[in-house]
Amino acid sequence: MERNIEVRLRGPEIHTDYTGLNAISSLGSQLVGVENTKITVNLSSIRWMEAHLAPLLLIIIRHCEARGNWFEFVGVSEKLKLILSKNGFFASSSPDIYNTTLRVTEFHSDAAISFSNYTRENLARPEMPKMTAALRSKFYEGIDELFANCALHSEAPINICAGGQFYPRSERLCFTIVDGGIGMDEVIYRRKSIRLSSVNAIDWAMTPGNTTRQGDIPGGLGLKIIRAFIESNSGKLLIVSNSGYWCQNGSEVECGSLVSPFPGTAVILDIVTSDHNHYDLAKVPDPRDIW
Amino acid sequence: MKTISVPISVIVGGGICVSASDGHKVFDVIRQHIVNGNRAALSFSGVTRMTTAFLNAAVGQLYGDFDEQKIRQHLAPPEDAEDWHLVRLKIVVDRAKIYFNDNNSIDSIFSSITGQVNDKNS
Repeated sequence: MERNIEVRLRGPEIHTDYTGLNAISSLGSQLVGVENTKITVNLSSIRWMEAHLAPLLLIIIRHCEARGNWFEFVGVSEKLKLILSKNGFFASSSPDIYNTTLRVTEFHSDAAISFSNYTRENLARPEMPKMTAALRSKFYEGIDELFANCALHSEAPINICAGGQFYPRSERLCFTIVDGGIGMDEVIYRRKSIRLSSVNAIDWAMTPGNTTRQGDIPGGLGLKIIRAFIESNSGKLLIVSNSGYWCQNGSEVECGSLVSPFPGTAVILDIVTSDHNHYDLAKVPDPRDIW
Repeated sequence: MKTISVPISVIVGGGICVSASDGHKVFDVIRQHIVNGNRAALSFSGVTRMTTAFLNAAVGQLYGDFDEQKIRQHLAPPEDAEDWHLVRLKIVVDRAKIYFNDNNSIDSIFSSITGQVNDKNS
């Protein structure tokens, strides 16, 4: 006999904040241990969800599918169906006539070049924000570093998932990258033999000078580069990893613990596209004095 | 000592230099030149995207294999490098020197934040 379970994503709105991320992670926690079951996800209480958060849902789905489960979505409002079809989360794809989505896409951890091409091709479209060349370069740098970080540390059994959305009215470009890996706390435990809470683990990883690397290859620069960029841009950098919630808004950092853990690590970059900072290179080193 | 150009984008097969595994390919080439007694000049021609993860693998780990003086002897100033290449390269090199010269300091930073001592060092 076919086994069925129904779960609900709690709304009414899912935004890029503590409440929204809690809602998504609690969906995952309702499915822990469920195997070989048809899972019906009821979205009837969701009025709106920011489209760039879809990769988090997809990671939860992929974890569940790996345990033999399959999914059906019910109670999806037309508005929600439209935004989640435009970005490819729902298979019945609707054309993105405004070309403002970065489609939800999965990448193997060794597909760094495919990932770079994906971001470049998507952001090269004329409908995408008119960012200065310097800002665009910093944005590319940031997301390439994020992918490299996921690939190096996540130890995930499933693909990395990415997606994004340009919000023209609020002049924001949001980009999400999610791995379904062991989480920052577990990475630190395995590599440094030290047990930290999930939130302290994120905070530690975001502190300049810290790295989980041991052995031959130094590390610990990528996330710090992004932090500095976000501070200048007055944007937002939000990370959830297992139970940890960490958010840098401009230069302010807010931390907390999620009610239910998220099965992996998600990093959301939310940048202000009207930023006209020059991002000049403070001091270019003399090529004769590099080594 | 012979100076030999090391064209990063040719070794990687394109200008997108973002993965640690591609960085390792560059590392292998540079390392071989050092072992052979040559002087390697990294060429950044055609490099359009580059992460610190790539550079850590490509050049950062040299400082674990060779001392700084030997690296200075066997690495020429980078060729065809734009300003942003140089800035990122310098960040990674400086970080690698700290990492390999004083790896314990990283653990002491960790201890000062967490109040815990790394088992491996205790």
